[in-house]
Amino acid sequence: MKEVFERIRQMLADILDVEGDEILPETYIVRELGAESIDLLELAVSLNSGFNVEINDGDIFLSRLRDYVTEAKGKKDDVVLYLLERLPFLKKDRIEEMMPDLEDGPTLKVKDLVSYVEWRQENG
Amino acid sequence: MEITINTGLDGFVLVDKIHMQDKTHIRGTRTFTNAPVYLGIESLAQLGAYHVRYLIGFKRHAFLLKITRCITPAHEELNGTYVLTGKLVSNSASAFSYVLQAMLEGNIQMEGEFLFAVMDYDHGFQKDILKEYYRNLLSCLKNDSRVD
Repeated sequence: MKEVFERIRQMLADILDVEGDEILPETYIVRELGAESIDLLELAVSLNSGFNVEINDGDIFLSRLRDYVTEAKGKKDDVVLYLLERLPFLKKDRIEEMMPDLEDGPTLKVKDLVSYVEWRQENG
Repeated sequence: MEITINTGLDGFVLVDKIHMQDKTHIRGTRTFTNAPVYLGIESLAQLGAYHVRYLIGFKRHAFLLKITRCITPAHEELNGTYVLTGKLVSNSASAFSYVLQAMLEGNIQMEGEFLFAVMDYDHGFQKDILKEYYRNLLSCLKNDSRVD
């Protein structure tokens, strides 16, 4: 976790031109660091080259999170279980943490990128 | 309202021929005569974008997102036949990073890191038009046909 986090922190600092010590695992990437879509695309290729793992932008940046929540509710499925199936790199407690946070804006945190990279490293 | 933009060019395809491409590399040529340097940058961008479209099978619209860095020749005009090369260095599902070079007589004249993105076709970038246009264009460039 620590090594992956440190490397992601450096990537974010370089791309967003912010100080590294502003970036913690709990930091919101869009809400607090001000990342825009172009920054996320640049980050995606950096993660690919830096960790040599496949990057699906839609998954790692939680682009479809709200769509999934809507789909689950429409099907009357358990939202958390529905999200666990579609975003398997996230832990159950993290998804539960996100749910009440959705209305306040993009919920993506630095620790979610770490989870994605580590999950890719383990699962290919 | 009709808007006319005069680029001073016969066409806006700035790659004359594509000689090879595989999953990570592309090579083409372009002959310039008294051309400003920015057209060389555009040539490199077009070459990279062709490769992105080739990789994704023309299924989405590809466009230049950012030039991270680019060195250009000290002289102000481009003259001669430049060998354009592109190497895919990293990518995600929606972004592709390349090192693109323009060489003249074996010497690197221009080199840069170019970031491309892809998006679904939409009303502004219409699938019916663009998909076939770029597919045919790439075919012409590989077969040495005129593409103006």
